[in-house]
Amino acid sequence: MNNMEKNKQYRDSDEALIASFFAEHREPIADNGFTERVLSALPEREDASWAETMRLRRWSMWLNVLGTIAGIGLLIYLGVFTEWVQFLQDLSNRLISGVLYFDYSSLLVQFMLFLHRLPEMLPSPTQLLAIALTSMILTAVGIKRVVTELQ
Amino acid sequence: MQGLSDIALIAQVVALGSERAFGQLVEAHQEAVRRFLRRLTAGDEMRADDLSQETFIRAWQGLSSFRQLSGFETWLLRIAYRVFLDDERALNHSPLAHDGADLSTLDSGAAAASSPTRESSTAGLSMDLDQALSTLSETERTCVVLQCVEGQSIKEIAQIMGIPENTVKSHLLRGKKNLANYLRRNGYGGGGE
Repeated sequence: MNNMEKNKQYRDSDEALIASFFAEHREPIADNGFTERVLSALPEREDASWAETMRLRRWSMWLNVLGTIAGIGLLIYLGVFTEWVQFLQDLSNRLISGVLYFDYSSLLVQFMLFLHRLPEMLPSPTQLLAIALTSMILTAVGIKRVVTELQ
Repeated sequence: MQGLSDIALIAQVVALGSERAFGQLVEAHQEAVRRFLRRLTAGDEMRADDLSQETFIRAWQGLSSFRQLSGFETWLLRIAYRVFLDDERALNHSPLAHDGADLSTLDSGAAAASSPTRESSTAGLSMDLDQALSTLSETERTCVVLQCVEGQSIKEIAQIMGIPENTVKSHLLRGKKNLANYLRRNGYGGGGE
């Protein structure tokens, strides 16, 4: 047996000895409230990217609120809701009478009527274009504001 | 699967600041971090737990810098190692052994500390893990613990300790040889004197 083979044999036996020693001494460590202690000691996050993320989130939240209010205002202004409100009143009256008097055919008629009138009640292409333009302008303003804020 | 769930939890922590998700990460990895630090602190459980807590707090603060170049546990162990080194410097603790120190001196010191165990007929079985590890230099001990206890690869150990892979290999070779010699001399594995 040459020296290289001897060395390899020694190394293998060392490895086996150490592996068995560590396996014998392996101790499981139970949590025992450690996670709770860590969570109760957590400070506010300080890293810059986190602060940027939070600022961006605040801005996007306010832009969403603003966009929603503007969108609803535009729909009211265009008179889209007038027809919807009238239709929903009709629908609820018929549903109530249908359920109260077990008039299921009335419910079916109402449902068919709803499907039939649905295309008329959707905004026209001009209205949709106006809504899309308003959203785009709001988004552009929002992006510019966020970029300025982050600089 | 652990890697995938780690990534999902990390995303929740980074994007939403979710403490609940971070709690799940702590729960999943506390054992590895605490065990590693217990071995580095020669079994001082209180100190190891304090350092583990500091490790997770630093992880919480810097989680957005985790780039997934290594596994999450490897990243945590790297923080844990730095926390340990900072603490050593702050306390001005003299390490249990220094790199390049004469092994025979170290062995005799450890042997003196463990003399009651050595006298016992069951010395090999009852031998204390930390006494055995204390015969190694700090760097050797860290390499051996990371590989043999935490199952980290040589590349990962190099990342954790911030040293070249070849240096890790030589520390591992020397550390294991010294540890095996110490174990045999103390009757472990049927090679006692």
